[in-house]
Amino acid sequence: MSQADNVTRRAVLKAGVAGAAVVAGAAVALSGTARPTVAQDRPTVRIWSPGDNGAVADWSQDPILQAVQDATGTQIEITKIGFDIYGDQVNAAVASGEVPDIIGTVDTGNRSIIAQYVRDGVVTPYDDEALAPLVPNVLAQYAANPTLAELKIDDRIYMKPVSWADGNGPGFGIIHVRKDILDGLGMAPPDTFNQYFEFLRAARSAGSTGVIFGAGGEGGLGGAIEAFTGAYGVPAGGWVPSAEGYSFWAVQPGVRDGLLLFRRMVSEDLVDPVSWELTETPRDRYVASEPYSMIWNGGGHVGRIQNDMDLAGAGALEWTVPALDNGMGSRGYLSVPSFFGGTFLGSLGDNNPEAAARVVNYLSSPEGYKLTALGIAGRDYTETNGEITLIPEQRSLDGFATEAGDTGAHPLGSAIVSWVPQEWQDFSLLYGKPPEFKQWYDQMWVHQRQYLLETRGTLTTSPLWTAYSATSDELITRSFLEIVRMGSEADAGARFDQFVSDWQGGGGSDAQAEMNEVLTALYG
Amino acid sequence: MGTSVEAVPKDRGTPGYRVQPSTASRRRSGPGSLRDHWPLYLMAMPGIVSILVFGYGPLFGLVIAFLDYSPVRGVRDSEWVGLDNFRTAFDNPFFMSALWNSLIISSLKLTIGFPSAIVLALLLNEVRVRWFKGVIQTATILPFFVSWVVVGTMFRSLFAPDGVINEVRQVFLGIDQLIFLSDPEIFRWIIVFQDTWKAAGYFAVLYLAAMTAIDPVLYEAAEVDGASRWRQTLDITLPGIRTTMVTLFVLLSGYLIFAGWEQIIVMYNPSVYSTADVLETFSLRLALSQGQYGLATAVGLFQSVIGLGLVLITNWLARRYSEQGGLF
Repeated sequence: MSQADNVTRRAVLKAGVAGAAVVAGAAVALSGTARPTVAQDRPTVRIWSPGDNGAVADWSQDPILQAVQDATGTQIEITKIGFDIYGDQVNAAVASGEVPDIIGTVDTGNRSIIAQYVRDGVVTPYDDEALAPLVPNVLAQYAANPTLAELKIDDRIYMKPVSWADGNGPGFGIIHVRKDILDGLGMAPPDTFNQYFEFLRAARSAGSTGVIFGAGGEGGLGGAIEAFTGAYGVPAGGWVPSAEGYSFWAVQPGVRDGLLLFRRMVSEDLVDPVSWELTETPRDRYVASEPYSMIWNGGGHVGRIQNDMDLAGAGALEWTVPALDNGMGSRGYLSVPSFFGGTFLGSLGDNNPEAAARVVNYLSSPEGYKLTALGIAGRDYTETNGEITLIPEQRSLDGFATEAGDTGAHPLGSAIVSWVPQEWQDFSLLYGKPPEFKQWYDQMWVHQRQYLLETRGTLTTSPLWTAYSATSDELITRSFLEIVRMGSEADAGARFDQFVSDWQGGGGSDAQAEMNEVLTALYG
Repeated sequence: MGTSVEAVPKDRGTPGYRVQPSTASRRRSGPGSLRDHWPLYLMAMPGIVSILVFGYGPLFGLVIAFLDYSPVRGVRDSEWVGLDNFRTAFDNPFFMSALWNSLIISSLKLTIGFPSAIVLALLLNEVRVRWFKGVIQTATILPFFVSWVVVGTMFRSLFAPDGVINEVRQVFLGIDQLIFLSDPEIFRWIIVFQDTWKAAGYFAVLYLAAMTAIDPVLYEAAEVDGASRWRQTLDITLPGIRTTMVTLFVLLSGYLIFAGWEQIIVMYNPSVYSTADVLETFSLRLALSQGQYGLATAVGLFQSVIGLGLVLITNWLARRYSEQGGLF
């Protein structure tokens, strides 16, 4: 080998080592950015939560996260994961035997998974002797809403309901209409289904694509039928009192009538065909396109929908209608506890439930809610004699949402312990708005809550129901979609009867008997 | 190459041609071959190791099908439940429909897709303008390399109620909007034709490669004998690629129980579960996403066993009824 070759090889080696050092240094530097600079003796709390980082560019520099760390004496590593893959990621983490300290917003409808978490010791109860003193805010939430007792497993509190209010409220089946279109057609807001269908017909003639809802997701029609079954006295969820004690909602005769009513709307071509394939929220299309009516979530969304419509500048006016009447002496949207998802404390090998409990409790406190909703006093807002003045420039630098469609809160305010308390959502929505907007907003809230149908057992389970609920959900999803799209009413009715038979014969009857015992023990 | 074709007289006046195994395929094997060709074996090692690790290693996990498996407790400490997971799967009201859907969709894919690739290859083989042939070949093979997620998104957009196809139907043909992707019957056919569109180009290349191995002298002899292009295709080209056809058919038959879940999961919605829910999507929704790993594995094992059976049956049929014999 020549000297030249040696030199070249040495040079290459040197360059390689230097390059590797640079890459390693960069990797260390980059990996360090995930963790904020705090005292090293603090315990680390790893949080997983669905959603995205919002306006936070760098968690290590985020002042709100640092304020939470200082208040709880912890060092927090937060990972936001997209909603569509979050459940799978959590399952994969459990399968790997390594879970975060705080597992945020797990779908409480997935009873089978949650039962396994408890059985396998993946999660630890909040009312554990050592943890209970650390989480008074979580325990207080259970005390404030007796319905949450249904969430207990083996009479223990394993999940913090990710809530926006303490009590119950309407579900996901609110009927929205465009008030400006109604006005243009010279029509009053509908109070009955006949009036609603009349509006949809007129709107179709005026260029509407038909009412929109999301039936392309795994839940199929989901809450879209709430007002329809409500018109026949059946809440579209949970278990309803019956001669046998408690019966499952979906097999009630009133659901048959509600589905046939929904089918009438479909058969008259009043539904936007996009609805059958829509997996995401129908809201964006409602705001930007021509359905002129939508069946979807309500609450603070109503104000945000109007904000987005205002930004679009087309003069659109959002209007929620109270649950409609069909002359049967009953009406109502489904009344459900005001939360979605439960947050768990991991209890596998490396987990630190005590430190995690401190973080959950602080984020669930009035101070925590205010911090994540408004920011740091004197920096993101000022408060004089109870009058709050936001400092938009600083808030946008500190990770607070600036888009109209958001709650105005920091990403730490959503999908960990809450979806931003309603009072702060309202504050953000109404901040700087004229009195007429507030008046309209309050009226929309009144409409949503005007007729609500209470139900039981949406959150609780029994061994047989845990085993059967996924099949039950699948039967409902498939059957109801078929029923409302059947060619004739007779076929649709027969298909419903077939569904009831399938549901009962597939294991529903046994599960219902067992759930009846559970609910009787809870409610008598 | 593995085959050659020789002309043989046929009874009906037109010449026939017989494919003969080439001598090149009769190579020395055994330790001597290893000694002579060790660099080749060495180069094959990464592939072999990866098959052992990723192909055969996970087979040990099949034991999960017989356990009430908990990832936290692991294989050793999970409860042994025998065939309970299989019973649970078979008792599920949606299992049989998922099984039938898998078989129907796969059979349609095979029935339409398999000959489509051959027809495409035959057509390409007849193209004499090189650049045109290249363009067509590239255009037809390109979809194979596009992920199902991208293809699914494209088709969802194209076939949406407010998509291009509906727009064209409405504007130019005055036909009402059709809800393609939430109509159970139409959806099934879209899946089949989408798969054919995506895979035909790739398989056509395999057939084209086999066609290049056919001795050109045969075509020249056939032309001298006055055989038309059609006759040459039937008597030279098709017999010449028969081995490739049998091989691919046997291999594809093993997939009759696997309907292609990636393709379906990015396209389907609850409105079409009745025709589009296949065993993989069934097990994903009702087992895996519910943390029922044992149940999901049982469904997977069931598919594998059926798939193996199908390969063996198809291979036996090929050996029994084909001159070329089976794959093994």
